[in-house]
Amino acid sequence: MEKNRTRSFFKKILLVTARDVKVDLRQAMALYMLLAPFLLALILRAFIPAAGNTTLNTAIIKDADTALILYLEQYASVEKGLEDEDALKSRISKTDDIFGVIGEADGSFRIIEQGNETEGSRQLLEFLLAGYSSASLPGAGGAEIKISELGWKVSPLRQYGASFLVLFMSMIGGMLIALNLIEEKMYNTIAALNVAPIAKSHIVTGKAIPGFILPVIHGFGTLLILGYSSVDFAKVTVVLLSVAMISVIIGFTAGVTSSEPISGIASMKSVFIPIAASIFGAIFLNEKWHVLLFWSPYYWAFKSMDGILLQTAGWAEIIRNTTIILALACIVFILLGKKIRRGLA
Amino acid sequence: MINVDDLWHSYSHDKDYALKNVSFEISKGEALGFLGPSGAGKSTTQGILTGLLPLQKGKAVVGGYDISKPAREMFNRIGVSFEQSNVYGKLTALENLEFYRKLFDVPTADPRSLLKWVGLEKVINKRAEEFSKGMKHRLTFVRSMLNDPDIWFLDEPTTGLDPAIAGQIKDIIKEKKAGGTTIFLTTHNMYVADEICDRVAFIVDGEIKLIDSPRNLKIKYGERLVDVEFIDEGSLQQASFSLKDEKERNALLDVINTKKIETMHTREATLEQIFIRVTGRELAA
Ligand SMILES: Nc1ncnc2c1ncn2[C@@H]1O[C@H](COP(=O)(O)OP(=O)(O)OP(=O)(O)O)[C@@H](O)[C@H]1O
Ligand SMILES: [Mg+2]
Repeated sequence: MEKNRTRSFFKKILLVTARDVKVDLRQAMALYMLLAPFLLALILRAFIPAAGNTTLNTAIIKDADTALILYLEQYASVEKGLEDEDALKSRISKTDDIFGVIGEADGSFRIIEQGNETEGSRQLLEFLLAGYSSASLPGAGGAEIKISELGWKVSPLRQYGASFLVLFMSMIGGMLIALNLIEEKMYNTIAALNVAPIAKSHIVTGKAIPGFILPVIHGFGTLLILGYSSVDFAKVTVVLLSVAMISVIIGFTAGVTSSEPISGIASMKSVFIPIAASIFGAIFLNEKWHVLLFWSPYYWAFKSMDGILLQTAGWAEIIRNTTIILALACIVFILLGKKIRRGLA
Repeated sequence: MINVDDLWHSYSHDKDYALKNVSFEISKGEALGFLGPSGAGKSTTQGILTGLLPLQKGKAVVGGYDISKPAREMFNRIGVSFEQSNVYGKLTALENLEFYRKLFDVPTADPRSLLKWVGLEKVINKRAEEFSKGMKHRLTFVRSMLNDPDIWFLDEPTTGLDPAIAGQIKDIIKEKKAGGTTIFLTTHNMYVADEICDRVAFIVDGEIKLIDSPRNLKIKYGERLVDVEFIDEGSLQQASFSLKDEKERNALLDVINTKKIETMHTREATLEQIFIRVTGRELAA
């Protein structure tokens, strides 16, 4: 009997979830929101030459050292056959992302750059050239050059962009919750649910589930598209589930307080500003000003994500940040919970 | 099955009452019709009895469940059809019913045969957003039958439907009633009330003015009427005369003697006419 009841209420919760998802897949706006994170990740990737496999471009003069060319060609594309240094310079001044490399008589190298090159590529090139120098000295050991994808600390666009996208897109789950609730209210289907043998808490749980699952799917997809396949996904999941709490609470609030979809989306959009502010603050503000951002769960989530992507964050740090996020989510719930309960009645 | 005692309700939580001292009971297998003009408080009463509106004052017991602390499982035995259709537009007719039926813990009817019953068999796989108003209304109506309810709340089940479909719906309700379903039916259509209900309650401005069976009401308040169509100064005229009232009887005689009669019928007073006599109000919205 007990077992049966448990099974039946799980069944009903999942029924509510399945209905919401089915409707999302049939609505252009919701469908777009489901796909948007992947599209944005693909666009971001197109802007990051160094994402995943490097596309470091170099140019070199005609009579450069063949060994150097062979070495560079292992890691970068090398444009050969430029007549002299002037030809090289004019090549570099074109708009694309390319560095000139000139070997000096003393065995050192000079890098010619224009200034528009992707940040980080230059470091990578220096790193490669340093590796070449040490490798060509007997006994210095070329094994020093360890091409760790993360060790390069490439493009901040990739590193910060990934965290930014993942956290920003965690709001989509909440938005879909809001849209579905607004639909139920607009067509008064919620009244039909309220005269069926399903508890209100089960309806709420069923509707909340996509708000937790979506950020994880979106987050994993975004990271994989951006080439972060070897980060600790367990930690990513913990971070995303905790920020999803906030998105779900805000989604329910927007859902019960808005009477049509556009105002629902608009009220969710107002959350974007604090999210963006806390992430940009964490990136650009001097460490001593970070205390100004401590109120924002997205600040802590960003710190966690950044640490995870750099593979510097341990579980202790993740758990600490997550605890703070959950505590802040509780405060949000205390502020908005009553509104939600009243709106659902 | 349903006991309502001294129900009061104010949407604005003040002295502006939508319901005042509403009391009635419905026994098992009985159909009670709530008859009243628009804004009388019919839907408000149904809303309270189905737990959609809070019980503010008074007592209501539905199927043994005290409405002041409604239990979820009571809805396994209750069916509710809404005045305004409320189905999921993005789901097909069949999906709407399949979703809803799985919410019950009791055996449910086959959605396909229900849809066939109300003439929606050709559109079972069409999304409800593409439905006409009448189709949505029928879908809302059959949804309330999925759990084969013991107690059935029907808010305006035939309003706005074309006569053929309204007739079908009436037949279905009658069939369920014959099967022992207890029915609370709201309408401002006296023919529906007359045909289906064992008793009717006249409600005006939130107050029940009278509850009785249609038959008793007709005996008590009814009067035979004569409808006459006649030619007067070259055009067709129409008039009704009560046989009870002497002045009207004389007027009728006058018409018969002086005008060319086209048609003449006698009929019983309708519930509508009785309603107007008792309450002094028109039923029509
Ligand atoms: N949600 C609401 N908020 C405030 N007042 C309401 C609300 N719903 C109904 N009322 C008021 O309560 C009174 C009774 O309305 P109710 O809907 O019960 O009437 P009804 O008899 O069902 O009418 P109809 O035949 O038009 O459906 C009306 O005066 C109406 O204006
Ligand atoms: Mg009504």
